[in-house]
Amino acid sequence: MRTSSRRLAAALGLALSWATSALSIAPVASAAPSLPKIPRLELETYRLENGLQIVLHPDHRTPIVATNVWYHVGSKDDPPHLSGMAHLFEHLMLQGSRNVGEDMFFKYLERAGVSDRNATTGFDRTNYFETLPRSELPLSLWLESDRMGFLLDHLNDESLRVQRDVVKNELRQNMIDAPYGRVFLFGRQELYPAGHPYHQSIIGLPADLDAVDVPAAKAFYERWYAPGDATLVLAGDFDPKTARELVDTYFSTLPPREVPKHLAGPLPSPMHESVTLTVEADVALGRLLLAWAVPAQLADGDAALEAIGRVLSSRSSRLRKKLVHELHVASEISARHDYLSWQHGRIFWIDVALTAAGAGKFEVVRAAVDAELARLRKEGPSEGELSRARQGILSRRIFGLERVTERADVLNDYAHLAGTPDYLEQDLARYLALTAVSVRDAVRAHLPEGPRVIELVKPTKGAAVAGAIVERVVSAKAVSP
Amino acid sequence: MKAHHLIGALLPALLMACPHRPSPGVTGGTSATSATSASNATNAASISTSTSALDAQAFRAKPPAALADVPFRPPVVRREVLANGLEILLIEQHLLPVVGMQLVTHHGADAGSPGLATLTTRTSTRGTSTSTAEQIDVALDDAGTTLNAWASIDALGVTVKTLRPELDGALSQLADVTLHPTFPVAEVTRQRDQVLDAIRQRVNDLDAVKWDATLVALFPEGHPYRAPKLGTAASVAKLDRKQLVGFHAARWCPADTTLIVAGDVTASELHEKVEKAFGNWKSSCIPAPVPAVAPAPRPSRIVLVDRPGTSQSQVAVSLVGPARTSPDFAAVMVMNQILGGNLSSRIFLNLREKHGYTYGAYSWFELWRGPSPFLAGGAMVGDKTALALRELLTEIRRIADEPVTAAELDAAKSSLIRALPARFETVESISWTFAQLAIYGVPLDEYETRADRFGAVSLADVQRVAKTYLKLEEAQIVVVGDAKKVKGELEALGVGPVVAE
Repeated sequence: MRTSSRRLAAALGLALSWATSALSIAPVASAAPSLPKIPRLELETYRLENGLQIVLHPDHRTPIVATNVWYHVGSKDDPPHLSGMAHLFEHLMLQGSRNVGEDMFFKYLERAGVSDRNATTGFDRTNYFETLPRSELPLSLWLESDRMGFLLDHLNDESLRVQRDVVKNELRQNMIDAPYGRVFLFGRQELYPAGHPYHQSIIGLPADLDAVDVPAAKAFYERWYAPGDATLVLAGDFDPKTARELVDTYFSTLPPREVPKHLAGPLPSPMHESVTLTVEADVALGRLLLAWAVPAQLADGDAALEAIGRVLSSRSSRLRKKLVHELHVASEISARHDYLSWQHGRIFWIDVALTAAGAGKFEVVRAAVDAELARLRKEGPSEGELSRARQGILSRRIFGLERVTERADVLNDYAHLAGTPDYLEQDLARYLALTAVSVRDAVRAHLPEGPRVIELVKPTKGAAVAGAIVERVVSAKAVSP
Repeated sequence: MKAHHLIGALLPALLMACPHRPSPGVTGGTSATSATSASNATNAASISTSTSALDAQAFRAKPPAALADVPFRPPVVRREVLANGLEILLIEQHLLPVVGMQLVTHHGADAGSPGLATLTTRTSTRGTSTSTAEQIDVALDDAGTTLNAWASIDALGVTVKTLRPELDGALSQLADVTLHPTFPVAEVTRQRDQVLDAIRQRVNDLDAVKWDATLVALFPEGHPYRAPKLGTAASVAKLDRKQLVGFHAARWCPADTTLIVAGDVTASELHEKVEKAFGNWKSSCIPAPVPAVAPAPRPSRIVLVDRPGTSQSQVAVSLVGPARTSPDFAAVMVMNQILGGNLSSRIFLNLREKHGYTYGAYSWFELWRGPSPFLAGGAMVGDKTALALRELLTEIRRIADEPVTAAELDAAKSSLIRALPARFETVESISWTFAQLAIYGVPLDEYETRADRFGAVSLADVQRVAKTYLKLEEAQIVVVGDAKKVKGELEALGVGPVVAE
């Protein structure tokens, strides 16, 4: 553990004195590691008069530039009876605006050589991004500012109708016809029951999507898409002075609009009993899922849980060794947080795919998972496990920094969650500061025997391929399947 | 107890606590007359459309001019061949302490019985003459290194990503799993069971079912492209350790292998490290089978795979296109970009943006070593299956029958050429890009000359390759969906017989 921390600190270019001070025991002497450095991310952060937050991160490795805009609105802000509104609205943002004609958005980008382009909707935020050759920075700023300021000039019944159909097809493809397509929704809706802002599916219910009309979309835009509630990050090969001037041209001229009030967090799960769901699905192989409501991203315990995910499911994990390599009851194990940025609470999943040989052996798998958790609650991870977890997490984060598309999104994530984009060092420091004790305590606090959700997905001919709940049992403690 | 979900229940208490938008001029109780910061920005609930405001925004009417362009230069690649014949390609990138590697052979699943390549690569990392699988896994996780062995139709490979300080260990493990795998019987059995499980799982994955059925529709019995990469349940059940050992030995030899390294290492450092890891490697491959040939054309037909109860149909219009090394490569890439290669292509705009039949529809050429599949399609809403297929066919016919516009041609070429720099952003994408050149024997200056070659594609070239490769009278159409609901309307299209799989 100590040697490895030193190796990592070296790889990260972090001061060793700082890195070691986070450990309870000084590092043992080891061969002086070579010291490859990660340049500290150069950031310039400011606000325009209309309130728009700007983050500039020049990075000249590749002649491309990432433009990334976050609006601090997500599916938790869907209006009553209009589930899916935030996500449907994201689709409307791609359809054109006052000066960007119908279906022209991607035509402009693709002709300019776009390499990454998309938009995603989470529970708390919606992001829009495109990565272009460096010479095309004016284009991305023109496109983003036009939809930030003048979307409503273009919004019409026809584009709404088509995008509603597109979203319903997205729903069919990813949640209705997809094997296991609903199992994550089932678990989430137990942890965050009806009435909780994280309850509904992001994509929404078909009837609600049908109820969205142009006035509702306009109201949503007017309430949530103010420049003063958005953050624009540029990362990549640009000259900061030129970028400032361009930003000024395209965004300072947007009229300020009223900034929305946001729900204050945390929004904890009210669940106090364990729930076991039996799910039937027309699939070949079974699956066991365990889920807990856990602290929000960057909150206390969050980094430790990520490490626990590695301890439980990495290539060399004890649990994988037992279930996959010794008992052959599982083909894959994953233990991790739910995807997307979660501002006010998160979900931690342990997800085990059963083999044909392991058919029906839910109890064997559940007992093995619980034995590992019990061990971690009692002793915490071994030094080797903790070191490997940290090394795995940090090396993936470093690889993530290779892409300006990802850098821009990470900076926006920090601005969203930590209130400042300048948070990489603090973020990574959380992992270097982990100890066996802090990880142990996180398992005790956040992954208890109950309350939690257990899902048994049973292969059943003729059932929905995405899965349907056939039994729901509530108990004060964990339930044996 | 039956599940009882209050889906669609009233949202809620918590949201109700969120205050409604205050009236203009007042935010959070603070009166604000001018907008000078985020917290007191006011105005506006509505977007002003007054004449003066429009004038002030008139500069937005046209898209802006681009800034000065920087000429694109692909990264420099250094080539070296060790005494034993191993080819090394190095692309140096020193700005982050990371290294990406690909070790690739020049033949893959096409050189073995169905499923053999996949099972062999999966098992190769499960034990060597000096390390157990568990020791390999622990060492990789200790270093934070990822190492994955894979098989494609045309190559076997191992992909490695590592932090620079861990490079020595990563290279030594890469060499170990390639040169000294032992294929323990227990591991062979386990990996085979897992592949058989994966094959079972594919039955419910509509996209995978479509792909497998397309290969069967296009290629005759015995053709190396007919079987799915995983193999079939029958073919995989017959594979044993002896076959894996034999295949691995036949396909991995220094003279037929390329190591591509991208990242934070210099040529002299790398030379020494590679000599140490691979310098003593001596073995020879057995000659690979001759490349796959184009199958005899078949008359057009619709293969209908029944999946009762599905809400969408997976649809593919398939044909046999050119090989990767065809002289038509550039023209085919440009033509496909117009037809269905991106979000502003004809197929996407027609099927998604105009009709709303799908979440996404595309076309692509596989471009393998031999004449290989072309596919167009996507997941279509079930009750629009025939309508969607008709639009797909219309677009394919149109690009062969009528010249595309000059504007479309320019946009397609520009989208391909101007996106080139982004391909060289990460050590993984760089090493992967050069690995593709090595696998297909494409000259290493491919990316220095690509812009010119793509730029030279003419309107006539586009139509010529469309006419050559998109002959709808030979199209093999696959539909995976609810047969009872879609069969009648598919027959009514009159594009060929509708046959059950």
